[in-house]
Amino acid sequence: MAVDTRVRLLLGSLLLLVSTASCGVSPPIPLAATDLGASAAESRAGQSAPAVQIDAALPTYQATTELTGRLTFVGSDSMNNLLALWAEGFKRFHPRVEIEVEAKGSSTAIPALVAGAATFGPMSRDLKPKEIDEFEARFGYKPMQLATAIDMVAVYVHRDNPLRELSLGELDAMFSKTRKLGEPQDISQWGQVIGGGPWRARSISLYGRNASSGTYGFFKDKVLGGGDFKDSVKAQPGSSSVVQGVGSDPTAIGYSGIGYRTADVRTVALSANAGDPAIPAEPKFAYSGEYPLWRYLWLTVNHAPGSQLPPLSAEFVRYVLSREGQAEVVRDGYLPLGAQAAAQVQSLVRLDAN
Amino acid sequence: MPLKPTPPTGQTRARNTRPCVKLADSLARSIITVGGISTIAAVLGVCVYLVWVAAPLVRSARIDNTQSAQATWQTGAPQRLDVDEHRVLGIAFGALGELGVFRLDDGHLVQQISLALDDVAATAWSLKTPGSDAFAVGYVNGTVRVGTLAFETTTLSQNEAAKLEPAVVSDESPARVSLPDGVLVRSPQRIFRRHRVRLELGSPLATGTTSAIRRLDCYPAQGGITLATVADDGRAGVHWLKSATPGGDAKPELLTADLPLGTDVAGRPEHIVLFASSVLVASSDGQAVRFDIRRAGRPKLAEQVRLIDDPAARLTQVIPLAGRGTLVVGDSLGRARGWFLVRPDGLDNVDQFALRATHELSHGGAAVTALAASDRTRIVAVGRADGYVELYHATTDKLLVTIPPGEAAAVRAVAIAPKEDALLAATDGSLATSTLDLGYPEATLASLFFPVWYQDYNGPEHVWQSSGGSEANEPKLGLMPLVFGTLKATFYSLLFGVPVALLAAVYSSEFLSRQTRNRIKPTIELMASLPSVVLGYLAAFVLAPVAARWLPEILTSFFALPFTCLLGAYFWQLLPQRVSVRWQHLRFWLVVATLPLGLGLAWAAAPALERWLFAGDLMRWLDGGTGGAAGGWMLLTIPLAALAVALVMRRNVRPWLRRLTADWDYSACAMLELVRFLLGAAAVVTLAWLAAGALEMAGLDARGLYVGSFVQRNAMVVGFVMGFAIVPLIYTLAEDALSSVPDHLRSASLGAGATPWQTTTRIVIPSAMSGLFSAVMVGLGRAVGETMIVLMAAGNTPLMSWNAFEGFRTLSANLAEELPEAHQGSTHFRVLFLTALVLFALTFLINTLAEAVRQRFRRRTLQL
Repeated sequence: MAVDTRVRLLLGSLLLLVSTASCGVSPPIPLAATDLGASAAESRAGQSAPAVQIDAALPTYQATTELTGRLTFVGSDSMNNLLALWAEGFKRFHPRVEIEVEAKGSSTAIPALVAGAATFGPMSRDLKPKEIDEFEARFGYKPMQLATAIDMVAVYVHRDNPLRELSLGELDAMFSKTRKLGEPQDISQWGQVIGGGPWRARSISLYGRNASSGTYGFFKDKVLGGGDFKDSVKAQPGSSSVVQGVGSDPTAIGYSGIGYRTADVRTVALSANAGDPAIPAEPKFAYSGEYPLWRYLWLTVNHAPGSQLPPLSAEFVRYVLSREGQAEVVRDGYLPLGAQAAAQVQSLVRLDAN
Repeated sequence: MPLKPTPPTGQTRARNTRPCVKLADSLARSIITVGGISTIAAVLGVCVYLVWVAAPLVRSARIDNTQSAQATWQTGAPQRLDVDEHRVLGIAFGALGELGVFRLDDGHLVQQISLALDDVAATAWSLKTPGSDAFAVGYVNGTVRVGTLAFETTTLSQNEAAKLEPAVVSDESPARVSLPDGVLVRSPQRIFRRHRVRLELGSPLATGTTSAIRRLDCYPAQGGITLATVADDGRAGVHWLKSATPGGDAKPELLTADLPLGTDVAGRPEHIVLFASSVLVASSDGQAVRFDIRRAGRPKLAEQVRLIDDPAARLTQVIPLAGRGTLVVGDSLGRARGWFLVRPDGLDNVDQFALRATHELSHGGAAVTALAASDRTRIVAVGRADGYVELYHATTDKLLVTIPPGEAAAVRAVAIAPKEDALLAATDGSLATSTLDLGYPEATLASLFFPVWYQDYNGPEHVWQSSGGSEANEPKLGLMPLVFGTLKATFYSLLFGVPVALLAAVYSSEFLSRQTRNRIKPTIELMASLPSVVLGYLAAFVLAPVAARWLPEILTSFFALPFTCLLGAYFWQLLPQRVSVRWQHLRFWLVVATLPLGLGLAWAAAPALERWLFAGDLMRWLDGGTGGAAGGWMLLTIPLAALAVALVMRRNVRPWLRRLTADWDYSACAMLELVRFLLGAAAVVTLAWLAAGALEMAGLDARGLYVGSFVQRNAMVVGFVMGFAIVPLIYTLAEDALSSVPDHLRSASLGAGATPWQTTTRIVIPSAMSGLFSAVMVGLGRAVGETMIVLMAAGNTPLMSWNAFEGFRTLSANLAEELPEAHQGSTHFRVLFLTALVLFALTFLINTLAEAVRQRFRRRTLQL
């Protein structure tokens, strides 16, 4: 009897495994070689040749002396992979440095910095006034945010969807119940943005991120003009589950980071105003500032004005802003900083002073 | 002397319990006692912790202290006050166009800045714009200058600080030292900061009039600044200033457009405010006109509004709140009201908006003489003619705190410090500074559980949208959508789970051979070992797309499966008794075989059904695009019709048939039963059809009520999968309860001539009722608290509709989603703990109720 049960258990779990594996955990399939989603997918699959060019003027990282010590990161979960890559890369130069990453969300960064429990607070959004207050009450100065990479937020539709482009106003009218960008009519049917055809009478199924994510607030500010999301926007717990959701729902539209693109979805070109040329979600347009939805990924640090960062922290920042550090940014599907921007960030913490 | 009784065995029993048994007994007792008490303590502890975190929400705001200082104004009371975020410096805007920069701690004047340009006197300045330094000044000759006014804070090293003012470095000296143009501060962490006021104004720009500017407002818009002016000659205008392009040396010029004020306001404009892509001009009797200024250079008259309905009242103050979406209007009768733009349906307007009074902050009192808004949130300070200052929250309408006056003099200007930790109130002769602790003004019990009218909404609503990108965003913390979502999730999962689990338990305990039951039960229990995250994943990424693709087929199968199953049972009866008894053990597998038959039937019948009931396209029908209401009602009324027909059969038809067929043989009876079943099924369909027709005639439509637009992540999918998760729980407990009904009851019943079915429904189920009930309750508890399946598959849309094809957001999924990133100690954080408490209370309530009901059943069973 007992043996019987055990065999049954084994069979059952085997069945379960097979069914879950066959039920759609498809690996991201690389797209055209020129785009970033492909490069991210390829590099994750262990292949090379990133398509985004790293600014040649970025300095190469050179370790002057081998450092020891411990770096602790507490903050954003969307930067978790990136931090792991940086940690790995940094340890190649300083093998005896211990690096600890605790990714529980951007909002955990400031409390950890205030408590002295973190050296860096990775954040995928700007600081909130309350957070600045909390930090300032403890230290007497404001926390410093260092830009480390650029993330593009793309608008995705199902691969069969004929939609090519949207204006931000139309996007607002789809996602928002307050329509702060001034679109006169609510958009709830595909027919309102796609002329005729079988799409005319299908309702739009909306996918988005959960309220605590940086992407959510970013989209709310940039596209909704600070207005409110419709209650019918499906809040997904992760960036990739937005893309998966859109990929399996033909009438869906959703927003997520560009690094999560798969072959099941297509990005939509966006124009800032109706009538302007629509800008596709490609890296060069983020750099030129034409693509409206891009943002920085930050490392927040406790840096007293006029002082120097501790040597190990300074070295890490220098590494992140070097060609090697930015190569990891590309590997993780984000966009690297240009040399000029990197130099500016360095000057914020006076790395250029010595 | 009585004889000692001799035991019949001849052996005397040891009457003393052995010590080791006693020891084990007491040990066990103490362990169980400690375990039990600590479990209760742990649960209570969790509860107390939740209350402890959530309780500060209801704490009211506090004034920690109020200091009054002799005023240093030189030209009468200021008309506007500004405070810096560190509470070091303040600016008093004097009536003659000069800025008095003063220290907040002692009120001493540090510096005086004149806004006059050469000898042209300044007559007006713009309202405060949170989050921007933009500032504009109007002059007596009708020109304006645009620039910035800001508090500038520079951090200095100790050496730099010592160079400026050597004394400040030592700990003995006061922490704040006045400099010629500001204040040097030593913070408790020995950080040195220099605070100054920086004013930069561009060259004068003509506004198309030569009379003095009386009122002025400016607001930074896309790529420039928008200005609005009211001049002494009664003209009002709006002006656009493009920001200077780098390298372009063209002189900046205003693009000016006059505002045609209309008869009500013309000649007497007193107030002008830029907000929400419009400009509002108001006279002091409360007449106002609003212009749509979305297109530069072409303002369009949007509407005329009366800001004050009482002819005796005068409009005294108009200010915008942070984000400039809401206006607060104060009048001479002491009323303060919040106004914002709403977009009612069918409004024939230039911009489709109408300005409405949506929030009644103060109902009356001494005249409102000063208003100020917080830079960050929707807190409004109301200063009155009798010296009182009140703080309101413009979303919840709550009076947060009242600050009594030091002297009974009219408040001329008020200011809320940027961090909302201080309030300044100026009268003609004094300046009062109060330290504030506002607590958690965004949440009141009323705003958590009742509809609230939020900015940009058309009416009061229950909304959960807790955070936004920027702090100026109004947090919407209505708990009802979450509570509703929890109930909806529970309802739909029980709707699927309970009938399946209970019927399965009854079937396997009463009708299945022991051998088959021993095989079935562990298999179903195995289902409970599926992690809910796997179920959630399956629901979201496998089942949801499948359900979307095959919706008509799935809906049809809800009816086709029971039908084929029952039909199979009647066919089984057609078999000669010899055969059916011999094949008894195969019965279960034949039932299983009806499943594919049912699915096949559903698959074949669905398109026809879709054409017949839903005008050929179910999705479009659900969107409300096509077809009548009868189709949907038909599907919804079929279960009820089936119930009604079954009842009639049992009450009226069965007894009659029994009499009729008393002397028929077995196979003829079976044939008759089959015919009866088919006729019954036809009756069900007809009855449902008639009921659906009647409901449609009555003008009712199920769409928007129980069904509606189809969304892939919906209650049906979650209900199905969560039902799947709770089936093993309910099934196991229910099966155990049924099996533990003593066999002598069954034997007695069967022996008395009852059929197995009668025995089951009248003897076994009533005896096991308390067990069945607790089984359902355990399932209910699991459904209420279930997080992962809902989080992954429900779409987390905080909607309040029973539509089975739309998602929902439960309390637990919301906690899982938002708690990790909620700022600790913030209102949002505490409200999330409150939701945990609500969830706790909900579960506690359900369990207590369930236990009470179970005890009742149990008493009844014990009487048996």
